[in-house]
Parts: sequence; C-alpha cells; structure tokens
Amino acid sequence: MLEVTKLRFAYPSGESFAFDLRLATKQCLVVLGPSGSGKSTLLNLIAGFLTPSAGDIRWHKKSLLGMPPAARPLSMLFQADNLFDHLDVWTNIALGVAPNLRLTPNETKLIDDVLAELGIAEFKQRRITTLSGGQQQRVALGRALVRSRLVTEAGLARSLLLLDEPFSALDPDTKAECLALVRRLVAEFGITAFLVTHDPDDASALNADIFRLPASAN
Amino acid sequence: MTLPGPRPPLAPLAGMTIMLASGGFLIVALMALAVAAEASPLQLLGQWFTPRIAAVVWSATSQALLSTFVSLAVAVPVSIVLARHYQAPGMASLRLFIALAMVIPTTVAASGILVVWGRGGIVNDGIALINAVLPAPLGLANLPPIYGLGGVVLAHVFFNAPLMVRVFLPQLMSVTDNHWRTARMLGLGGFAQTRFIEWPAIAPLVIPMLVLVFLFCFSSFALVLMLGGGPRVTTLEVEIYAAIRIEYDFAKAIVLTWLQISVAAGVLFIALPFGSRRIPDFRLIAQMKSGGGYNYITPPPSVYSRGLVAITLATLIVLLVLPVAAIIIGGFTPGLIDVARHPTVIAAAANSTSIAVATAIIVLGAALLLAEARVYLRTRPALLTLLDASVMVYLVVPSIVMGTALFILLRRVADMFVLAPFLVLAANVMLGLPFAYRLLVGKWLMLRQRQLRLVQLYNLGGWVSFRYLLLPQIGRECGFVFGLVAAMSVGDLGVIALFASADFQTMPWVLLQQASRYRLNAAANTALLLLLLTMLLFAVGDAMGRYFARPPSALPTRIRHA
Repeated sequence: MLEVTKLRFAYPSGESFAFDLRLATKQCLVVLGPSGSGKSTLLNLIAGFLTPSAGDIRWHKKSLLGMPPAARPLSMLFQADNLFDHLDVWTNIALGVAPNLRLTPNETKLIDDVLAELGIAEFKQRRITTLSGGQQQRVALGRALVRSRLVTEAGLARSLLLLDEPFSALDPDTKAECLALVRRLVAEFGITAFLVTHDPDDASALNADIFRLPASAN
Repeated sequence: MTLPGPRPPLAPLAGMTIMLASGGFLIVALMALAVAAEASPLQLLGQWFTPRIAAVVWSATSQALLSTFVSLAVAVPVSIVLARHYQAPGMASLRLFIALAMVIPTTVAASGILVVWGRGGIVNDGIALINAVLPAPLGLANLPPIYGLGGVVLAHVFFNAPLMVRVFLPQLMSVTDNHWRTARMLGLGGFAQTRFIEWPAIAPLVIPMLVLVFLFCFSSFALVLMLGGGPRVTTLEVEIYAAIRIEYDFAKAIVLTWLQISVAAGVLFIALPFGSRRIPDFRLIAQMKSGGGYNYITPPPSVYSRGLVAITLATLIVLLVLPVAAIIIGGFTPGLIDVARHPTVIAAAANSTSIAVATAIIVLGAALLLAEARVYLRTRPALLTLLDASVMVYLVVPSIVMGTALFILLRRVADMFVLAPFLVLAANVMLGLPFAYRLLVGKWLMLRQRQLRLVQLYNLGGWVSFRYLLLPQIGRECGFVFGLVAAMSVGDLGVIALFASADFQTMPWVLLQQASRYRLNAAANTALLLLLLTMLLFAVGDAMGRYFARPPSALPTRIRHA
C-alpha cells in the first residue's frame, strides 16, 4: 500500500499543493488533472526530488521521507531523456542495477531475461539515438522491470513505478503498445504503477482506477 | 530573395567590399611574402631548415602540447565543479572572473606570474620567511627560475583553461532536468555522474578545443617573449620578431612565416575529420554572468566529489586568481603615482587608448556591414562560405605574420615608423574582427529575418531604421563587442613589437620593456594601470550597450522626417 497522507508542498513562488491518496500494491492508478493541478509535483514528491513541508509518504507502512531518490523503492519515467543517448541499451539498463556497472552473474542474466521477455533482446547493443521514441520508452520500462526484481539497501523491492506522462509524445499505436506493456507489468510482475496523464482514455487502456486532482489544490 | 525598392543597397555593398578587402589583404600579404622571398617555398625550406630552426619548431610544438593538455586537465574538473555548484555562494564571481580572463592583457598576466613565481616574487619571499624560522637542515629550496617552460605553460593555462571552461560549462548546463532526475533515481554517485553524464556532455568538444588551444599556444608571442627565457622556450612568432628587430634578417623572417602558416594549416587539415569544423562559438560573457534557473543536481557527497571541489578551487586560486591579485595589490604602491606621471607612460596610454577606441569603432562597423552583406548573400552558399572564411581566417593567422607581411610590403616605399600607428591599428582590426563578427552575426540575421516582411512592405532601410529598429534590439551586443574589442586591442602585444620606437610606444610595449629589464616594481605599477584601462574600456562598452538598447519610447520623434 502506498499512502500519501496530508502531504503539503509550496514552491518558492507561493504556489502550494496538498495531496491525500492511497494505492494498493499490484494495482494501477491514473492521476488526471488540468495543467497546474500539481500532477508532476506529486510524482516528484513521491520520488524524492522535492521535499514536502508536512505530511507523510508511506510504502508498506514505512515512511519514505528523508530517503534520497535512489534509496526509495521505485523507478520513474519521464516524457523524454530517461536514457543516456551515448550508451547502448544494455549499459543503460545495467546502470539501473549498479551505477559502477559491476554486476553479478545473476544480475547480468536478469537483464538478458528481461530484454528477451520484452522482445527487445536484439536491441541490446544499439545506441539509444538509433531507437524510435516508442522503443526508447520500452527500454526504460525494461530498466524499471529489472529494478523491480532487486531490493534497496533497506530491503524493499523497487516495485513502485512512477510514470510522468511518458507516452504522451508517442503516436497513438505506439502509445497503446506501451500502455499494454505497463498493464502487463502490473498483472504479471507485481508492479504498482502510478500514471500521471491528461488523457482520460489512458485509464481505460490500463483498466485502472482514476484519481482526479482539482484545478487548484490549495 | 533580394530586397526590392529604389533604395540602393549601400550597406551590403560596403560589407562585401570589406569581405573582399579582408580576404584580398591576406592573399596579397601571402604573395608579398612569396615574392619577397625570391625563391620557392621548397627551395627556401631546403636552404633554411637548419637544426636551429628545427629546434625552434620542436620547442614551440612541445610547449604548446604541454600547455594544451594542462589546460584541458584544469578546465574539465573546473567546469564540472562550476556546474555542480552553480548556485553556491561565490560561484558567480568565479564565473565572472573566468569570463573576464580573456580580456586581461597578456603582458599583465605575465607580470602577475612574475610577481607571484619569479625570483623576487611572493612565493620565494614566503619560502625565505619560512627558512628564517626553520632550522637549516629542514630549509626549503627556492623555486626553479620561472623563465622557461614553467612560466610559459603557467601563462598559457591562465588564458586557455578559462577559454575551455567557457565552452564546456554551457554544454554541462544543457544536460536536461530529466537526465539529472534519472541519475538521482538510479543512484549515480559523484564519479559515476562524471563518467556517464558530465564527460559525455563535453567530450564532443574536447578535440576541437584541443586543436584551437594548440594553435593559440603554438603561435603565442607576448607570453613567450616575456616568460620564455630567451632561447629556452621559443615560438616561430618570437623568432620572426627577433629576425626582424634584432638580426635584420628578412629572408629568415619569411621562412619562419611560411613555416608558421604551414603548421597552422597542417594542424587544421589533420584535425578537420575529428570535428574541428565545430570549433565552438565564443560565448557571450553575459551568459556566464547570469544566474540562470539551472537544475544541475549536486551528487551525494563522496570522497571523489569533495576532493574534486578542493583540488579545483585550489588550482583556480593558484593559477588564475593569485597572479591577478598580485598585480592589483602589488601594483598599488607609492611608486604607482610616479609611473602614472611618467611622460612615456602617459604617451603610451594615450596611444593605446586611441588605437583601441579606433579599432573598436572600425571593427564594430565592419562586423555589422559584413552581417548585412550576409543577409543579402543568403541564397548564395558559396559566397557565404567565402564571406565567413575571409573573416574567420584571421583567427588562425597570427598577427605577427600579418605584421611581417606589411613590413615587407611597405618597407621600401614608406617610413615604417611614421606608419606604425596605422599598422598596429590594421593588425588590431584583423585581430578583433573574427570575434566581433562571430558574436554579432547570429543575432543580426535573426532580427533582419524577423523584420524582413515589414521592411519590404514599407520599404524601410537606411540609417533611421538601423538606429530605431535594429540598434535598440542589438545594442547590448554591440556595446559588448565594442568593449571586448577595445579591451583586447588595448592590451595586445603583437604587431607593436615589430614597429615600436622611442616615438611610438603602447602600454603593453612599455610593460614588456620594464619586465625585461627586471624592473618588477615598476612593471607591477604599469600592469595595474593597463588592467584598469582595460576594465575601463570594457565598462564603457557595456554602458554604450545600455544606452543603445534603451527603450524606443525614450527616443526623439524626429523619426517622421525620415
């Protein structure tokens, strides 16, 4: 269970937000709201890029506040720049396992298995710049899947997936494929997904619950 | 597409004339060198390529290689630290200092290095103080003499490490927010961040910068003249100067000039496939000054990150800040007034200032006219390339080479010492034009493009539309270019070395004389005056920019008479 309770945050500009929601594990939640309603702010708070002024974020009853982003049991995808262009697919995923690229044989096998599972094994040695936008997001999802099989230092599995409109720049067919993949990650691999979007159709594609943020959540 | 209308395109025609003059002058100069040599380059080379000249080439090459790689070794960590701690206190001043290093006159920096590292300098004084306290067996040795490789490399790093930083830093700042967040999410530490993000961001520009800095160091003149220690470290430029001024051996000067041109062309030719076409823009100092809303995320503290900051700040202070501080503090002595009142210094300051102002005006006008010519030639790619090349070529043709050509062209027909001020002016114009053109042309093209349809509809043009439509929008850049060119020109010790006499001196020349006679105190005074003069001209340019860029509502309404 992900619990966001009485979470408050204000930007230096004075814009302030309050959030209160919960999400059961191995479920998918779609957060809808007009621009300026704080969708991305919410994700950045959960990921640890922003620090709330009050409230709590708990995962399996354990508060995530105070943990740096890398120590939190999650992965996050943005609309662009999830991968490092000058590296190949395999190295990009390996970075999600060990930032010094020192992998155990088991971890190496895990990456190869996930690449095969997602049908992108043949891209293994391709540079990111040679991939299409949809292929790039597939690789980023693959990295999140690999990470979900591993645990943080605190012993938590990284099975929470934060999606900050990662498919909104893709063409409709590719977007549908990516959403289907997210649905599979939730159904087959026990991932808990949290998608921020402005497209209500995404929720039906994911067969997910909807959480609406009001226009101004003061 | 050309602009219709009865208005004759005077400005672009003038710009094209400048292009022809600029490119033509180079060709005439090279031909003059060839004709004056009275032999083919190959014959000359066979005749003159003695072990001594080979030693000169080797000396120039080895010091340039060392200077280039030390500059890179300083610039990469400095860029990373400046980017990571962009918002940290004091960082804005450090960036401004690095940005301004380019306009510090070479002779001033060299004097500063002498005051810090020289025989009677601060560091040796400190060693003597420590030795007075320590028992004899623990005594520290004095520094080796600064004249030679050490001094030359220190001075080259002083100028070229900041140049590299100015190019690398914007590259680092352009890494996107999402990449930083991804890095934090994946838990990349300080070293992994350098390996996977920071180094890849600057890597494409490393080879172009190495080529550019190598060329600058290889054709270095003033710094090597002041710190090379005579024959110990030398460059072709210094040898050309010696051949003309000391040995009166023009044939030798011509051979050396040809060698210089061949090496520069050779390096560019070899480096072209590695992307030296992408020799980066000389970014605006204004860009370095701005605080910016950057989101560079500082990695979690680690030994690597802390060590990087410590080493970088220490290096910056020792290599860059100390020599300048030494001039500002060491030059501010009672002797300053005597030096400032000395007739030679007053005359030199007047000469330097008038040449600098004249250079800046000519360069600014010429750069704008060239940019306007570019607007008219935009459908003719071949002519565009020619236009750019005819200006940018002076970035790699050292001014001593052009000075030598002028000397050889004119020495039979005119009195060199009467012409001297004009020759220095001409050389400074060539020196400043590539920078001015590069800095202005982009914005000018953008403005003209945006106004093109209005201009065609209402047949706008001429002085009034320049003054009221364009200048308010490009005034800041014009002021910056004026200040930059004036500052570069006032501090340049190049062609003046070939033509200086008792009747005609400039501030850098006076400073060179004092330093080469080991009058370090007077040199520090003069260096401080020259530094102040440089900063004054730079500030005047900035003020001009503000004046030109003031909002049109404050303009007089005579516009309706136009």
